[in-house]
Amino acid sequence: MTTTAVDRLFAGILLLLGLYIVWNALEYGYMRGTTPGPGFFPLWIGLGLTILSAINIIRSVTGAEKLDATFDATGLYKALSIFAAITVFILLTPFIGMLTGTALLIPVIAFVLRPRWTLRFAATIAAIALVFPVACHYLFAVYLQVPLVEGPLGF
Amino acid sequence: MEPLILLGEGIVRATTPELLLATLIGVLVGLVVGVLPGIGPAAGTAIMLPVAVGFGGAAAIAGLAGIYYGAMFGGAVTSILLGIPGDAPSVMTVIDGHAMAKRGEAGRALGMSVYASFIGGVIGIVLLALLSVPVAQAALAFGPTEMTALMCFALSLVTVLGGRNIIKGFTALFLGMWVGMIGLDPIAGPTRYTFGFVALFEGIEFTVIAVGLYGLSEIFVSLGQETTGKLERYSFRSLLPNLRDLVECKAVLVWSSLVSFFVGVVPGVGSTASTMLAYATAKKYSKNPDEFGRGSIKGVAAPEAANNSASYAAMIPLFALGIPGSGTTAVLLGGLLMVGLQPGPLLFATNPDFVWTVFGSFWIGNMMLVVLTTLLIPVLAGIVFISTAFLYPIVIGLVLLGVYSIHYAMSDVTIALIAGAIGFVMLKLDYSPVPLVLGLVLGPLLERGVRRTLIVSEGNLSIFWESPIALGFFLLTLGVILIPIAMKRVAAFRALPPSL
Repeated sequence: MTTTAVDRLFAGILLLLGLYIVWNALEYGYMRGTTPGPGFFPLWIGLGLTILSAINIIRSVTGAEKLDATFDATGLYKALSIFAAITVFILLTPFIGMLTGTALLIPVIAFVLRPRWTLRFAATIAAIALVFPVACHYLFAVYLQVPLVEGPLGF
Repeated sequence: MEPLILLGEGIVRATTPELLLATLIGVLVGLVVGVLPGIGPAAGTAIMLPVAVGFGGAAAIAGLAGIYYGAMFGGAVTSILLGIPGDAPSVMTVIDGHAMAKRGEAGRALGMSVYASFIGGVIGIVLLALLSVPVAQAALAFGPTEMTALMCFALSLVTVLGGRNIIKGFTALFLGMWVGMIGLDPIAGPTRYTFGFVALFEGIEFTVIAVGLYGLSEIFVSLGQETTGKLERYSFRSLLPNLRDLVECKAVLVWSSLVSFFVGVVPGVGSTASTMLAYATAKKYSKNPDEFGRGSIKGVAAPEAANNSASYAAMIPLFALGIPGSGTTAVLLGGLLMVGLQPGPLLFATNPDFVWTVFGSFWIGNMMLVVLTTLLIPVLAGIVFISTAFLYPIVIGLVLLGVYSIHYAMSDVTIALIAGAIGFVMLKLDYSPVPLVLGLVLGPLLERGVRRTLIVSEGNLSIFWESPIALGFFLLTLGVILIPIAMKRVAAFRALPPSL
């Protein structure tokens, strides 16, 4: 999918969101007697979003919109992989705890960013994966007194 | 002279160990943020926001602001030694700074960047102290109508000036305003756009979105970027103050600081545009304009004094009006709200000690940065070469734990991740994230202002143009939106072949 296609798709989603906002705003009530109701402001925001998104689609279709950036395959793969890794971290945190989760997440992200590991690189990542959660324990749990989600091992 | 006395008292209060430590941590992180090409000041402050808020009160804001102005010092190091700007405000420093480094004058350029930053900072802080109180006092006369008009003006300025694509900027602004409406309606009571999720009833915390949008999306965009290049050599001795250079550049230093301060006060202009203006002005009024671009010392002095001065100018709309003019000051606003303070005209009357202590910490941070930058240049230059495979896992871990620590909720981490993904797509598609964040912050305030005004007038819209101040701001808003569109049309018309 080209960047232009993504641009049109994103503008299309925003256009639908704008219509959804307008639809709901009318249900909330535009005016209550002589005073503005809960739907007053959302109606104008929804209309604005719809019109602007339509303009963005028209500009893209007519070629008026020139985009410099591209979704290169490598960058997109890395971003999606890290997104997936963080999603797994969020899902597993209630079972394994935040600090253990972070210790596991670090080598995964490092692997996404650099798939070929030397022994020295692996040792450095292992050290970071061990030291970082300990430092975070003292910073967040001890100093800032944040009740971090704990796993079965108590951290 | 009273503001300067208050600033002096603020400096004294900012010398407590707690505040000194917070300022030191802030400026050190800022220096690192300044040299890292993938992470800008907005991302730096957003990532550190949950941690800094843990310091509490003035220390939290001193630390966060330290990241902002610290980044202005740090950005010059890689600009000069590598020819790579660490952040956007140091782009202009590359032109002459790196040219000087290539001809063996890296130390001289680095030294000038440090002292120009310091002088710009001093002038910026003094003007901030002198002007913030009168601005706040003037704003005290504003009612809901005038504040609504002022917010419209500020939002349109930021949207028009803050990105390349005005239409996409306004789209992002409207999207941010909608996200700000999610949750309980502040006036009438019912919930809006919660999709049935109880976690959304209280709305989406702006700081969670800001951390995701800046902290994660900037990382997603810069994935795979590894810095390569050769560091230019310099001697420590050459970093020490060069009196001849300072005398030669004295007019440029003062003029650039003043120009960029008054330009930087305007929401949306920011440090980057200020440095460009300062550089162009210095070149225009130079006796030897041809030297610019080939390694002129004035070409380093002008942007470096400018970006520091402008960073303090941006504090005036934030502290005196409660209106952030950039992504970084929006994050600072989030910090102020999280420590329980509402920035705006009343802040100077209700919490003067807090305000002047924070301003005092700026002075101390500025002095710290002269020493730290000079001593840490080799370390800072080395940080650029650290692999992102080491750096980003740590930053992402810090973001995730930091977001969780705001409300102790994993749902916030999910929201930040979604914001990061949307921010990534937006950055790629030329939608500036700054209007989105400002829409999220100011949207609810704007809605309250509009609705309260209309409740008072019983739905009569003419109340908005009965006040001359409000009318003035609305006309300015129209001008800000329409003038660039008209200019674009005229330029396109002139570009047409004569036969058409």
